[in-house]
Amino acid sequence: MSQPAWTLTDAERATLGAALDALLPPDGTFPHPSQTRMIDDFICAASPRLAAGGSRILVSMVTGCGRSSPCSRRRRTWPPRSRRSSGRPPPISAPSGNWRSTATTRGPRRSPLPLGYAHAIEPWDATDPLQNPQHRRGSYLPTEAVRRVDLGGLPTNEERR
Amino acid sequence: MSDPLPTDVLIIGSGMAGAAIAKRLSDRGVRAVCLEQGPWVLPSDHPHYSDEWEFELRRDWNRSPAIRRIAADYPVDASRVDVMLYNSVGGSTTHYNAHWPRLQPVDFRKGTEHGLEGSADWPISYEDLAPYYEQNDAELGISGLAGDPAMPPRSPRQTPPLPFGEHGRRVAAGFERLGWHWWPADNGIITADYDGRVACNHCGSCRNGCPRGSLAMMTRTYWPKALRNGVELRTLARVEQITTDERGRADGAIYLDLRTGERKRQRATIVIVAANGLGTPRLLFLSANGRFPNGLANSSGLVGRYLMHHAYADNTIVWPEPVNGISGAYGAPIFCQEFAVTDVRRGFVNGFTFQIGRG
Repeated sequence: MSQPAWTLTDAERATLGAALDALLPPDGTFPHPSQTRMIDDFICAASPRLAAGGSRILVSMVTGCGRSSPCSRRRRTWPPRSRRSSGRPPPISAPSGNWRSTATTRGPRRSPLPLGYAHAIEPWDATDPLQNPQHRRGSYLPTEAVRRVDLGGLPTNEERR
Repeated sequence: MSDPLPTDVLIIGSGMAGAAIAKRLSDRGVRAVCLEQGPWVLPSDHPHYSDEWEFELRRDWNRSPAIRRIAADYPVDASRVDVMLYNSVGGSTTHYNAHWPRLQPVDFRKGTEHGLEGSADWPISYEDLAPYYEQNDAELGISGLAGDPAMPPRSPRQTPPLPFGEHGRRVAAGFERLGWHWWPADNGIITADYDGRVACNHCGSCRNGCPRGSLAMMTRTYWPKALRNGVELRTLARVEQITTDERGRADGAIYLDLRTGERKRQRATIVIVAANGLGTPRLLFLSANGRFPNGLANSSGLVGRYLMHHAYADNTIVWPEPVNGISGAYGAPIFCQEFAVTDVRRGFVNGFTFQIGRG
């Protein structure tokens, strides 16, 4: 087969292998994809045209590889040309630099989006009294209990002025 | 090219209402065609992968069509009110916060309660609507917590509430000190995988839409099911006029195929206009004819008048310490109904709800 057009780290390879195993489960005639040369022969060695398209994007999304790897360099050209820029504009970058917690202002890919902040915010906690009210206050007016209110207590327009 | 074959139901607009109607009717085997003037918005179309995603909120993804001016928009005068809508499959749900409060029972009876400024009771009650709230919630997947004593009972929410974050806990602590009502709010944002969709990753850019589909966008909820049921959804089909038969009943629509420039007529037994608070009256006016010179469904002269706004004012809380307030979905993790019901001792009728958002 042809020489790999690009390379994967061990972590990327393992993640991609697991994803392929889930997508293409083995049967009596086909083994686990990770046990074959599918990654090397069909993804890494894909033709330049193919590599520039879906397969690299897929690998980038699945593995979440770092900025220094080839697939993330490819990813930077993924947004439509009209929405692409060479870097985050200074007006956007400047306030972010004042945040103390980089875990909050930067996602795992050093970009706030699209990975989000699942790593930086705790899920809702039912055992926390400041998240699950212990003093259940409040009530509502059922339909049959709605009555005319006494509007005599409202200030007149003169009083409002 | 010949006109398309007649259908049972023609739905104009593929947003929240149009999508729900299409799905519900097709569940029962009704043949339906939906005409949508905008395109599909694909996950890669959202600006989340752009280095300038914040700017997109003010640019191509601005909520006001008067500012973004995408091809599917029609002219809107936004000089006096903030107009929030989107013209694409899914309509305004393509980018919204999906905070998901329900009306209270008394909201349907404002004519009885005070009758000021021409307020009238709705022809339906909360109890009439409640089963459909429940049905819709189950279709879309709502995060939240049942049991709020300030609202009528509701079924368990489909996923747990949104994360509070540190700022949410601080606000809850403040409400506790004041002895005010507060409760984890309902949001159309799933916090766990639901119905084939993945949970929110708390990227916080709901106003740019949601390429993951965790936000309750119609493109990821109702429409896939409606299409599987056989509904025909025609995009880039701008309706110009609703047509009427000899009895004066709507019998279809003339639309412009924006791909080819051709005008076509879609006939239907029933026509449903679901084109939002601006687009619907606009279309009714555009459909004026010799029999209905003031527009369709306008014998009262009220089409286009008394548009009821969802008025809101926002305030920003600044904490002395970092609370990571930018983390988390843009919806509202907490809400407070302490002042939701009329109390004339405050000097006004009606009330308001606190929604504690992020930003």
